[in-house]
Amino acid sequence: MKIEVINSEKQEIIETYSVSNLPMFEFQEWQVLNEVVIDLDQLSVAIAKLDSKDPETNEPISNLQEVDFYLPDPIKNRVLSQLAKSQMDTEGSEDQIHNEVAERVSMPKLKSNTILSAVATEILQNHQPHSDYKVRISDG
Amino acid sequence: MDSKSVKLDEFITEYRFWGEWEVSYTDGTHLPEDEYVKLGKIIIDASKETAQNYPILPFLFLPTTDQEVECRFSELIELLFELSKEQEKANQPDATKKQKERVNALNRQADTLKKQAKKVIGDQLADSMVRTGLLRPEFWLMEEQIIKMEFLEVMRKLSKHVYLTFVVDTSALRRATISFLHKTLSEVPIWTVVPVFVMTEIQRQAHELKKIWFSNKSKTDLKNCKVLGMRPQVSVISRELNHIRQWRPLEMLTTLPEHLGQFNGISKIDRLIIESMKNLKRERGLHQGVYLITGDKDMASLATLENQGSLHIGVPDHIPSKISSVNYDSHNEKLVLTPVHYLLWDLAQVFSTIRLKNKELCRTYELAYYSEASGGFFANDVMEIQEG
Repeated sequence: MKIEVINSEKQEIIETYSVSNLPMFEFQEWQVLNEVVIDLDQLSVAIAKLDSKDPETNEPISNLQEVDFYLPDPIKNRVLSQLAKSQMDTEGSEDQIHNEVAERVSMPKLKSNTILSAVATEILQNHQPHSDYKVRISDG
Repeated sequence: MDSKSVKLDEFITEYRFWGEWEVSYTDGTHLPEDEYVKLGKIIIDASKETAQNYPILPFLFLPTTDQEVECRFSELIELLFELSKEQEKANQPDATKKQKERVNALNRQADTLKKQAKKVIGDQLADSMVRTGLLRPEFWLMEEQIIKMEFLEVMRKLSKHVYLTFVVDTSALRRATISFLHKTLSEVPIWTVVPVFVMTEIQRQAHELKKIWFSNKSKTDLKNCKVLGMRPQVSVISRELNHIRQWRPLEMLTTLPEHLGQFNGISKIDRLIIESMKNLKRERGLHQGVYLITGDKDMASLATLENQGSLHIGVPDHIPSKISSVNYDSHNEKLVLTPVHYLLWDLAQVFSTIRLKNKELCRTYELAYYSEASGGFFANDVMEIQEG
């Protein structure tokens, strides 16, 4: 998904945010749309209203997403090493197990609306409120 | 209940959390035994099985409200002040003027205490959330009479330097700014400089804390809730310094011993830090990429007036009622997830003893950082955990 903050009066792009692995069709309201434009000051309200449930199962849509842990690097490395150690009874070399564990724990399942809310929060923190600012959302 | 001592990495790998947890604290310096004050609620929407596979899961934190703190402190005040008994006496037809005045005085004292508690708990919760990445700090970059306030702009400007030298004061360390900047500006080498006056201030606070801890053994005084603001100056700063020291350069900028005894008062310490920064630049011929980091706007402005670059770090004014542990780092274009353990660790370092309660699972944990046993060892980042 590509989210652009634009100055609608000057027709210029202020900032572009790209979020990988989050297509627009995961939100029922946006399923048939190519592009959505929302006032910047309405962004959080619009996102809070979105429905990202699977129409068949009625469960929120989730994806495995790569994240970085908000931990100081030495702590993060020790956590991953300890988790790898606890898996040492499985087959494979030490490095291989370490990498597999690191990859698995760094890819938790995140709900689509959680990800989009995180990006919206960041956008709202990065730009001062402005009546001419709009947000253009597309699959880019 | 058996207690176990763990380090942060062990806490993350050995303890799994899922479901809904109420977080509250107790503190021997100002709360009666077995009396807890709610700090918030943690919701982890996951099953036991998911928690076994993914030790670090997304969660929501719902911090306690000002009203909840005020109500709880009203109960505690009644418990300790015997306010209701005095009030009853003052309401009798034969009550003396002295009795009525006493009730008024007690009420005024109670109001002051409630306000003090509300402020200190709110401020410390916000600081904890900033330190653990739940809330993004606000930055003001002040340089050559220009102030940049937009996060991306500030980060882009800083990342243009080949290397950065940050001179920090206690507020910058207390808000774990260097850890945040190491994460966000991972492409730029960062040299952290701590003027010795910062360390003397920490030493002074540690001494004060110890005095309160030992003088308070026989009676509980709610006024001592001020320790919640003092404790992070020691515990959190030590943790931040330990973390930086383990993987990045950290320099303690010392001075002549005779200069150390010549200050008292905050403003003089601020001046000494600014002068240390000027000396550092002069002696080492540094012209670019040197910034003073402080949480004090006045100090940052003053340094800028004297042609020193400064970076002011602030905490957002508005704290949302629901905070997600998943955040987006737009500078590096990545999702960042805060482990629930990190938030709990930080809260325990500030609030002394944290109780976590999950009614559905019938499980309780008590995390004690500043207990009597570990009170003197703030440099050793170890927590005692009891499971019930």
